[in-house]
Amino acid sequence: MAMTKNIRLILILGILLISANAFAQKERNLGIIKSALNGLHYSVRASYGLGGVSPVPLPSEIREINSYRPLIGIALEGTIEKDINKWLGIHVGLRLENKTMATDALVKGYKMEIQNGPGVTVKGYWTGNVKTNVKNSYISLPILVTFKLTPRWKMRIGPYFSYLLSGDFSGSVYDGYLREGSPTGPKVIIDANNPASYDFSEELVRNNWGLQYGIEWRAFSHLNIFADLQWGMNSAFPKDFDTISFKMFPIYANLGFAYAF
Amino acid sequence: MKISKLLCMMIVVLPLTSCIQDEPLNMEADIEAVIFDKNNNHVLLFNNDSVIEIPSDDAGLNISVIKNPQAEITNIAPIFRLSPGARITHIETGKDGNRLPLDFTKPQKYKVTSEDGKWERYYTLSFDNPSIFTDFNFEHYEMLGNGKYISYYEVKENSPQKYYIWATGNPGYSMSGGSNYPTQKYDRGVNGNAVVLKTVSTGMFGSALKMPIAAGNLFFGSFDSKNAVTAPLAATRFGIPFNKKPVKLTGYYMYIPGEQMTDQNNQPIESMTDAPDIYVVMYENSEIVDGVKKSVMLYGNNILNASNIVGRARKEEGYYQTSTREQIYNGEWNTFSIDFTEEGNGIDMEKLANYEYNLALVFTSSIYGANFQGAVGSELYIDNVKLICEE
Repeated sequence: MAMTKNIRLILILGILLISANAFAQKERNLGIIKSALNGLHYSVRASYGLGGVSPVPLPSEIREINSYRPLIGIALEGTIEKDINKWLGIHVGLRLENKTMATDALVKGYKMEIQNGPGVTVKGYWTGNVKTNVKNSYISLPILVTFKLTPRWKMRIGPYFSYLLSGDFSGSVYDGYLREGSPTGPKVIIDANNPASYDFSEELVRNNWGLQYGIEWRAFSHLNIFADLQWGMNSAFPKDFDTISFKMFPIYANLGFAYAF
Repeated sequence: MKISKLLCMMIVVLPLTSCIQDEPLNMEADIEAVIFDKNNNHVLLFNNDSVIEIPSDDAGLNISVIKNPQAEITNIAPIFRLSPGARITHIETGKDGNRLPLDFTKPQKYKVTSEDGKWERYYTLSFDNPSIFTDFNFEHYEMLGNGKYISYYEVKENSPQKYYIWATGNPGYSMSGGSNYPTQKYDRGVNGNAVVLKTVSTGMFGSALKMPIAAGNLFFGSFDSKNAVTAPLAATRFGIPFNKKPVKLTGYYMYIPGEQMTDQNNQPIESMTDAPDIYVVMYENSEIVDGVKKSVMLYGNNILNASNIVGRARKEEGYYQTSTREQIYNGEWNTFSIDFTEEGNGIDMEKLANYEYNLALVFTSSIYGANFQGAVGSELYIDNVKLICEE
């Protein structure tokens, strides 16, 4: 469900990008040239994001990352840049993006709390494997300061604000045991053939913000290549959400290209 | 935020594994097993059982080792298998409890401390002669799991000793997080208290594990919660050593079936009404494997069809009457009387005298509850049960 939504999102953005390109195929119209003379630059950009939603630093309860897959995380952005002076500028964008990952970790004495129907909670300490799948879509607003290092190299840094459009944060626990209630509660084995699944999608916070840091290289006159790091500053889950006792921060590196008009 | 930190983070994101911290100390404080080596195992009723596994729930805190009635127990040094890193202390002397020779003519108390020092569990270890109980009024109970669920025991006249012969599935249900436990006290018994067994829902978590219901049960033996999810039929360990030959089982009951039978996938089963089950099974509690005598225990999967069963008392499914809510409210109890008949190899009187048979007395609110078929809301009320035996 979430996946099809994401695909639709990507398609719409793709179409927008293509139409923007078609528009660009016509000669620079006067407006754009005028804007450029006033220090305004427009670009559209696409990137591939790689990262995870993770506690920072990793708590000692996490003993091993058995596997990690980034899945498909695409970001599409329309950008306006305004020069302040020869070196400094402002970068404001509107970005649609997916932040995804799939991990499988080995944990020891990991505190868990699972909702089991209305008002019914299972609490306990889990030792064993935890699989997590994240497929979140956001609309984001980066507001960055840019520094021109050389005519071809540019650096940028600043905050971004994201709104969660659709979220999937789910997984399962397997091949281990739960101590129900406390570390001295009944021990219950959950084996690999009978995983217990969880779904915290509904718990994800809608409003997110973070810091973004990146560099951009002008490869051709209209084509730039860039890399950005997005570091979430608020946890993916609200403060009163005890199931995961750690703050979970989305941390993603994006690699992509920009078409500058 | 410093640039260096940002750069470090950039490096950190991909190989997250490089940031694994030192392993935390263990928080568990269990006696996992009590072991009797060759210097000590002669005191056991079955000296082939030199490793006794202890259930992890609070029912495991009272460890009763069934001893040979003739054995001396003034100088026994049990060995304990503990949670990794945990320590055991004999409370009276403050000494390390492992391999500590003690006089077990009275129960001895131990404290187990977790590796991280933050968690403790208190255990009592006693050696008891096999004890035979035949009258059950369900007046002796205690609340376990921080007072959440009931556990029954029996007592003898003029003795403070508690005999933990009964088990229930309550410790398994506790992991569903619910509060409507399948085995509960009913305070309007025929005399004093009775017990009520309820078939209850285990919530989404239970459904996900294909265990959507829990049938109320009460039985001779023990319940091992660690198997409750992976091998639920292996969690119910039926039977205790017994040296009398049963004749019949009698008692009082009321039964009301829940409205809708469901299967393991929580799908409705039409044209079927839930029914209770009450039975006694007696079985040979040892077998010779490669010349060595080994103990035998029956579990949920073979308690009714194992080849070492020597006798049983059980009625057909249609035997039990259904009560209305009103009849239950008015306390209109029905009686049951179930004859015991021998089968298989039959009962050998000499083996019987040597406790070479186990007896399981079992009550459940859903006859197919072991297969997770039953109707949520089925209730079986039980009181004043007598197991009449040959003298």
